[in-house]
Amino acid sequence: MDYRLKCQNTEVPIQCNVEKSHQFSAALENKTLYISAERISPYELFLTIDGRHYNVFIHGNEQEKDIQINGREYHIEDMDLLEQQSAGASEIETAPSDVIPPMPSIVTRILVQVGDHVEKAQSLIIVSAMKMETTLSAPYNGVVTKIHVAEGDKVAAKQVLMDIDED
Amino acid sequence: MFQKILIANRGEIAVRIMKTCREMQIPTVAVYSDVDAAALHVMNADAAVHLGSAEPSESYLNINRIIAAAKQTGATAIHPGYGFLAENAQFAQACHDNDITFIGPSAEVIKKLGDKIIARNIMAKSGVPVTPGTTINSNNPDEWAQAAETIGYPILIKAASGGGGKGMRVVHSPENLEESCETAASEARTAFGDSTIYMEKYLDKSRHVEIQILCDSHGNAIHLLERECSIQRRHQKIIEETPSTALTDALRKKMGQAAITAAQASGYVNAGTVEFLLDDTGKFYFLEVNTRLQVEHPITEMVTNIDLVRHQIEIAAGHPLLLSQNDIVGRGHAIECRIYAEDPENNFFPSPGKIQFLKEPTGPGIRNDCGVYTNFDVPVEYDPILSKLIVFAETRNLAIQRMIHALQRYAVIGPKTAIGFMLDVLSSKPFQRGETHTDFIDVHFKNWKPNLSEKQIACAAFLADNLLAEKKDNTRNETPSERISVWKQLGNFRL
Repeated sequence: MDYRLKCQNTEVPIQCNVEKSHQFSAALENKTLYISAERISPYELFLTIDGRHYNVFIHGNEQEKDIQINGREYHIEDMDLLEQQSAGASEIETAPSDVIPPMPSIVTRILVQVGDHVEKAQSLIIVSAMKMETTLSAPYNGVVTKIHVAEGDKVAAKQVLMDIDED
Repeated sequence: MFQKILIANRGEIAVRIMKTCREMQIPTVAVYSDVDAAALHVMNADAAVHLGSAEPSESYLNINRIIAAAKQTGATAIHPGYGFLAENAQFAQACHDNDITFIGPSAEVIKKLGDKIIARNIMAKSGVPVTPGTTINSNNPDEWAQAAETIGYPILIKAASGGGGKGMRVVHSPENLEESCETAASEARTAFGDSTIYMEKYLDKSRHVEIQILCDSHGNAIHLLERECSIQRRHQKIIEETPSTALTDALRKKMGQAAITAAQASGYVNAGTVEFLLDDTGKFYFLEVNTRLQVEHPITEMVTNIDLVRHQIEIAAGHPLLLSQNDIVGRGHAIECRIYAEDPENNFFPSPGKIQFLKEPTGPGIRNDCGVYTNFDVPVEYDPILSKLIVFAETRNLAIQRMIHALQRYAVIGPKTAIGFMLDVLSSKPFQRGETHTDFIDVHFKNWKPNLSEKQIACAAFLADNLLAEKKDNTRNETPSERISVWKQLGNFRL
């Protein structure tokens, strides 16, 4: 089976051959690894790769996984599956220019009102998470058309908090 | 001794305090908010009282409810931990007024030392050196600008009732002053209920060295050596160690004496910490007194072999200190790494959320003071500390090796942590040479990216996880309570 994985912005093509139910080989980067794997729990794998032991912690789905090895975290994506998926759903993607908090947080202060004209980089909303405050600012010049939250609201990461009509 | 102790805190520190209480055979009472009903500190206590909703003001900062919880459960003493009400004079006073012993210094001492401005004045009068600069106590932007000019940039804005880096900002030039002051004041109001801020000269080549003190109510005061806490991000410590590589025996003695002078000048009773900035010429300046148990207290416990929480409880019960200064001898070297739910690739922003999986390291000389468990949802409302990983070894080099090993064996899946980042710090030459200054992370690890040398292994793990997918627990999408329910796993049965 062929895979195209992505790790830290590098594409890694892999040819994978399953030999027994727990054993497979993986040809990648001019090298072939012989791997035997045991699942310890949903999040733990015990791997023997070319005779060397690795305790690996893993979380994710078929498309992407976070993998911890010796205290380091690797985010790995299956490019084939992700491309299939995004071909169907590319329009729903949030524009990076929205007013969105970087993490789950609580709205502490709203500094503008509907109808206000705001300038790029002007402070709009202050959110706090775990006692740390972050100011979200305007991505472009425009008029505030709608504010979706009130002070004190809990908001999710990447939730759009405010609509701005660009000039 | 106390009949029962209520711990007015949450997370790892509440759990740690309960451990000593158990050893002393003192029953414990936990308090908790809506989001903490299944928190580890609740399960580790003998009993627990629900305080209210998640907002700190409705729960862990709510003095009336905590006092009521103590009365309701018959707790005769309250341990405040660190943060929340630990340095709140009104809370200490409320305990006193209700015949509950507050395990910490008196309300009067907390008030004096908690106001960083008054504290500086007390120290200056007693001959303890203070940081260069002017203090102001105002909410007026014009006065801020004037004070900053007098001190000279760069300046450091701090919260008068602050601690833990909350409400702290470095300002390098006048144009950022007003906004920084306002954000600092706002953060201070949220975290401490007091928006008063003040300014100091910002020293950039300095170390943060603090002295642990123990003072009883009979006039005995000793110090328990130093902790160096220079490795900080967002003005909050992340790696601490003892002993400090910068202290000679003579300097250690001098700083220890200054700390005892500081404690006695303020009438201090119980455990406390006197923080100093130490410059490269061996000059040190008083920063503040933390009138509580410090986050990093375990490293002192490791090298002195003294349980600080036990001493806090005994001192609060009126027992005299049986230790003298000569009994305090440091052995070996201890390092602590704070494991926060935070993203080191994104300016250490908090990364709350559910812990999918947690595996704590164990082994010789490894201690992990942990407040969470697999399936616990780390709330967004509180400080994101998950645990503190502490190692102890014969020498500094061996302690570094031991910490690297322990971090490599620590798995946290769900929230991001700085484990990989701290591995790189501990492995770096400047850290190993002991060149630890408060600007360490900015100088050496400014735009840190993880060092991912086992990419091929990770790719192999990805494939193995897919290959063994059918063996995975297929209850992943259920809520934790559904997953851990024994009844679901038993199937149908009749009685």
